[in-house]
Amino acid sequence: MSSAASDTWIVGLGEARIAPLLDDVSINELAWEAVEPALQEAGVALADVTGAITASQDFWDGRTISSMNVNEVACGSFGSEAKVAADCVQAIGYACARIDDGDQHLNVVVAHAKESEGDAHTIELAAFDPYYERQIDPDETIVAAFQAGLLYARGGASEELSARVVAAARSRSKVLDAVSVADVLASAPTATPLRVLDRAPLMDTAAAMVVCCGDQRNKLDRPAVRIVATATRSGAYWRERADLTSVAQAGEVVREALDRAGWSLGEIDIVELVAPFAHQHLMLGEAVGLGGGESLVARFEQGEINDSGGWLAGSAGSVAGLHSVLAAARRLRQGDGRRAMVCSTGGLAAQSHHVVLLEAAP
Amino acid sequence: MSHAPVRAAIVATGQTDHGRRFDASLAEIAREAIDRCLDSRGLTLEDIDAVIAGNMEMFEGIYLVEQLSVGALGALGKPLYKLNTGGTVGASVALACYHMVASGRYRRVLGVGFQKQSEGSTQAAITTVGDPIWERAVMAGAIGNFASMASTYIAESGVTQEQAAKVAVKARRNACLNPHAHLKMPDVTVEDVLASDMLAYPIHLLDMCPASDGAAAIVMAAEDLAGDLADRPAWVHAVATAHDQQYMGDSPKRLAVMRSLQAASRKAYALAGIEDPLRDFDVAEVYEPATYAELAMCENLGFCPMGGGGKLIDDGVTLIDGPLPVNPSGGVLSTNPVGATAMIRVAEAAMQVMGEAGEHQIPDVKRALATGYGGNAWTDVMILSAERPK
Amino acid sequence: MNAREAEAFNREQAIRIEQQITLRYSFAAGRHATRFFTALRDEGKILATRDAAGNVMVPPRPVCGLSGLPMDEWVEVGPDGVLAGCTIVYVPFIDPMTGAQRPVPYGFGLVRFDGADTSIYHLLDATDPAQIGVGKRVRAVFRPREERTGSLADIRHFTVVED
Repeated sequence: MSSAASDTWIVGLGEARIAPLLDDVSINELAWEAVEPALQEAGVALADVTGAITASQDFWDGRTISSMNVNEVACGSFGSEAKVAADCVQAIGYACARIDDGDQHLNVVVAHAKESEGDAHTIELAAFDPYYERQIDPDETIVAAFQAGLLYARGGASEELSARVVAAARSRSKVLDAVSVADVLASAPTATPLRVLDRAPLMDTAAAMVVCCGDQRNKLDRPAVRIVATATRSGAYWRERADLTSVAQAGEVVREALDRAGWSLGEIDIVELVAPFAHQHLMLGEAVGLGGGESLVARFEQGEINDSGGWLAGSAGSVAGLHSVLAAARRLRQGDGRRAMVCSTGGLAAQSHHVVLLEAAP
Repeated sequence: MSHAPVRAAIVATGQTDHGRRFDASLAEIAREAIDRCLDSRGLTLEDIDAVIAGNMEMFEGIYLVEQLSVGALGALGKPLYKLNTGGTVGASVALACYHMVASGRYRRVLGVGFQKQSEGSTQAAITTVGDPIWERAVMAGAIGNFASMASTYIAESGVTQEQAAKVAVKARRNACLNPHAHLKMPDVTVEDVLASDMLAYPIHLLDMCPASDGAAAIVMAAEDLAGDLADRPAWVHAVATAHDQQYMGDSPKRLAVMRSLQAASRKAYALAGIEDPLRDFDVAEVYEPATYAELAMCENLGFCPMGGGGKLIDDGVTLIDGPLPVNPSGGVLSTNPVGATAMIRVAEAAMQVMGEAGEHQIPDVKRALATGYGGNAWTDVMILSAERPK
Repeated sequence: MNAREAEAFNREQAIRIEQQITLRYSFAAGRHATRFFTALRDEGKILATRDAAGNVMVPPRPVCGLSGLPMDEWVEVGPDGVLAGCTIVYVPFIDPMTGAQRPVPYGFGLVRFDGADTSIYHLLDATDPAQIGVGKRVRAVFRPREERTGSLADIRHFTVVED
């Protein structure tokens, strides 16, 4: 088969609750809250699932080998699990590789995070250079603030445009209250020019999907969505980036994925951009070729981009990309478009970029 | 639509000089292995399509370590994956390299495992392996876990402390033939092992692996490139992964009966056409964090009948000049930088097939086995061969 | 650098940067653990979950990895059990709950409660180490009711009992 495109199908979707604190469940139970409905939708039992790809971060879980928190609910015992420490969109690329090479036929993809359980500042501090940076006690918000400050100074983006992205996201949220642009601009400063509402709040959540090869999909005969292509790329570490406001790799991964699929950007009906900070959506949109400034923000407000609301509407690290994939997949199944693209990010100041392209079943 | 994999081979390996390395930072340690790997074939980072990295973050206490080290890992502007599956992560990385090539996604993938256990609290990190609700409060480190497992294994198989000590002697003497190994003890004897401090009954100090700083790297290449890059590529004939149940006590006969190792190895054997592992493999690099573990793994891998691990070492079957040498590199017992250790198994197995293991080269290696072990009996298995798969 | 050069560098020149990162976590025990530890604390009972295939698991959990079936039924197991693995520990590990070193030697092992298919790790009474061995029957020694908080530590340790 062509090495460029993938023949992986999404046949079941599942989501756990999303809330700032879900302390009635352990991580294991939370993941099952997402996996169980995905299995039901796919019409398969856990015993049928021979492998899983899991996405989580050890520091957020407070556990070395954080996927051990979910391994029995992801694919049962003696299943073939592989764990990717990144946003789930990157993990999806690995899931596809194992199906495309014939090693796996029916897998679960599950992402989880309980951001309520750890101390965010200290966890993020641990991502900084131990020799040159930690002593000044930085965290992700501070680096994002440098980035936003430079971005706004450069021109073409502003606090107001970022605030409109937040308002647009919140208006679509099922778990967070709507906020106005004025609310965002009046919220407490965290590290200037950023404010509390500029960042997606921390959440506890999990999401899952059941994926399979083409043959399995035919046997299962469920509404399905095809994963056509994935791509991923890492930029430089934040302090070593020549231009903190540029996310050129986002454009590169999109071009690479489109090449693999044989598509053009104009053929994409559904777009989801996944990043924790509002201003990063402006950067991503521009880098990917979706416009800039006022016209780009209008697309968020109209739901052309992030109809789901994205991370700013309520999600968590590792899970956010998968939430957008699930939202896009549901719309494709309903006939609300034929082709979708989800671009997600990772690392400090959006260092890494991942993309997945989906297509409705013919 | 067919899903025939692209055939893939390991075409280059590199390792650091493992040990206590205060001369290098974590990123530099990773880069040392990467440079040695690429230099061995005259490759540069431009030749690499994707990088897959493995490191257990809690040990050095660096979150998103691959992002911090992206330059050292040679991954700037490239696909960069980070896995962390525990002690087996190096093998998980090697398996990911395989899948990325076999699926046709990338054609030359660099895999690197790295760790500096001198830089953090090994004990604290291992304590976090335990489930926070059910296990962490009573954890007695890897040592307590292996000691308890050893007691189960002894009760099931009758293996003796002397037989376990022979594994330690084999490992530390083999390590003398490996320029990269951390612990080398040319004159160590069974008596020395039994006289060493008792850590947790029946595990003596010399029954356990060290905590090391080190890194190992491989390049996995697609079939049409492999022959150009290595005279004798180490072709991947099978990969398999299996984990056990959710909690450490779920497998009550743990070590005596290693369910996930049996599951993964049998799947891999079937894929590679291995009928009698003792006969069909020429060398094995297995992930043995303790002496008893190596004997149990030999049983569970089918090198001998269940319960026969003690006899296997008594008969010298797994010595470096025996019918099936196990860990001619010195194994985990000689070198253990957790994020790299399973990658070292894969790299050593590949070196054996490629004829590049120097003083610890086993003659005429056609097929080699590499295993990884971590966390709750999480197992990765890779089978390499000098022959291209059909 | 080779190993010898590195060692010299270590001794003579290397700069080390000392850091202590305190990572605090608050872990939600979840539904199954809450029910288990409530019964442990309030009634001194050991609970397990069972699936339709008859697998009985401690710790209790939503689904059994072996069968893939939901573990819908709760059953009582123990209070006695069998040692599936055991050791006397001489290394003074740090107790993660207190931050203090555990006094050595102490017993540590795998206890399989009567009626359960799985075991749990816990501390063992090592007053008479010769008594401890795989296959020996053991009983949980509970802390007094007023000292129990709903955690593993509500059981002080397990002690070997006569058959």
